[in-house]
Amino acid sequence: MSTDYKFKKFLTRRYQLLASVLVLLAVGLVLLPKRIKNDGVSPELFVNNVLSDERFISSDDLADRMINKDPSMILVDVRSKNEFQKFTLPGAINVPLENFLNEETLPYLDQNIYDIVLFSNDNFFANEAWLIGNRLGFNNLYVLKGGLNDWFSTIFNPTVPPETANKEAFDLYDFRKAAALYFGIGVYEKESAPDVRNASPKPKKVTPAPKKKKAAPEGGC
Amino acid sequence: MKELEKTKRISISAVIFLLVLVIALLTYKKPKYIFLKSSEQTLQETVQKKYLLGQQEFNKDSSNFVLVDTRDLYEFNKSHLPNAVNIPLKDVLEETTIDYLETINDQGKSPVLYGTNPSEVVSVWMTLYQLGFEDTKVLAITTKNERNSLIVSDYSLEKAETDYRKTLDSLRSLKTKLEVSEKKVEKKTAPIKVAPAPKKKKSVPEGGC
Repeated sequence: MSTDYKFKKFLTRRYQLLASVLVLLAVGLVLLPKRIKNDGVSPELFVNNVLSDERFISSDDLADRMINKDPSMILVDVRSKNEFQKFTLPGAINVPLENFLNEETLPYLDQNIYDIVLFSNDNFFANEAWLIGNRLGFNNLYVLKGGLNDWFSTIFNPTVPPETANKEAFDLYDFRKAAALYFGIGVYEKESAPDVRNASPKPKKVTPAPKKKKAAPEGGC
Repeated sequence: MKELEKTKRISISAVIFLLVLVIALLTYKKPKYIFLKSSEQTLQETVQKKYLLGQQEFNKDSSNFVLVDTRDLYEFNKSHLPNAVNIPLKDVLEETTIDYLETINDQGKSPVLYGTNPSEVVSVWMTLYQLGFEDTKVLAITTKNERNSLIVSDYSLEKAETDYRKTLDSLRSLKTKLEVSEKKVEKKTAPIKVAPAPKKKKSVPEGGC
């Protein structure tokens, strides 16, 4: 009788022990340090994405896509509203940098259908906007390399390549002239005028008069 | 006997329970680095532009700053600013880099980043800022390697090179103006007609036997 009682006592103690272990673990959960959440991508991925230059799109490529009316592209001007109203690229929408993570703009950025091309005067602000987007894992963002400054000096006002330049340089120049015409600027005339003014008229080709056939020697016996 | 079986079952389940806990703890991986700043905080800091440091501000108390060159090692070895250390973007997450930056912080100094242009440097800045190095600055300069010496020039942030609207209008009006001037010019330099020299006719060989 007494052994049975002791055995029961021992068992209840064991239950108590196990129960206390569980309670201790539960208390431990409360005491655990607050887990720091990393919103967006990991630092390693962030740096890897930044290291690649893929985000930059040149003004020539952009012009090409605009002329071809690429429907999968949205231009986003990240400058201030004031600057946007003064001048912007055709078809661009304005998202000032400070509004970049607003509720209205996020749906534009966080999608997989459209390519978003960010631009500003230089590419500084646009690059910053891209970096913020990269942090959040948006992967359809691009940056116009050189920004509007570059756009003006290449598309709207291209410089004539030196005569020693290769064929590609001239092809590119022709493309830029045509693009400028598309955007309503007569660069073509601008380029041809100084040529004339420089008083170096192109030498007219002198087509040599066709040689007369030698007359068959006349006479004879 | 019944009781014994019961305890056996309970102890087995308790052991399994603890085992699961131990496995969970062992497999828990803590990420090496974590962005301590949220994207909103980063955006705010970016917009405020407090991190940009002019050359004069830097020279005022340069003893509080440590210059950090963010270009790659090749360019750094060619030339760099005096007392600068080299931390290219790809090495930012190295342990030695983070340790070094922490020691700088402990000394009460703040790292000042520079590179070819601030637009490149800002990515390094943003990485460091998000990792929690809040005191990091960016020197507003552009640099260029030339004949093994570093040419430093001031950088004006996002400056429009021309007044876009005006330039655009002038380019558009140029078209009509030039059409007129072209006509005038053409009159002046009327192409000189080059009359082909009359070729002498070969004398027809005269007959004869």
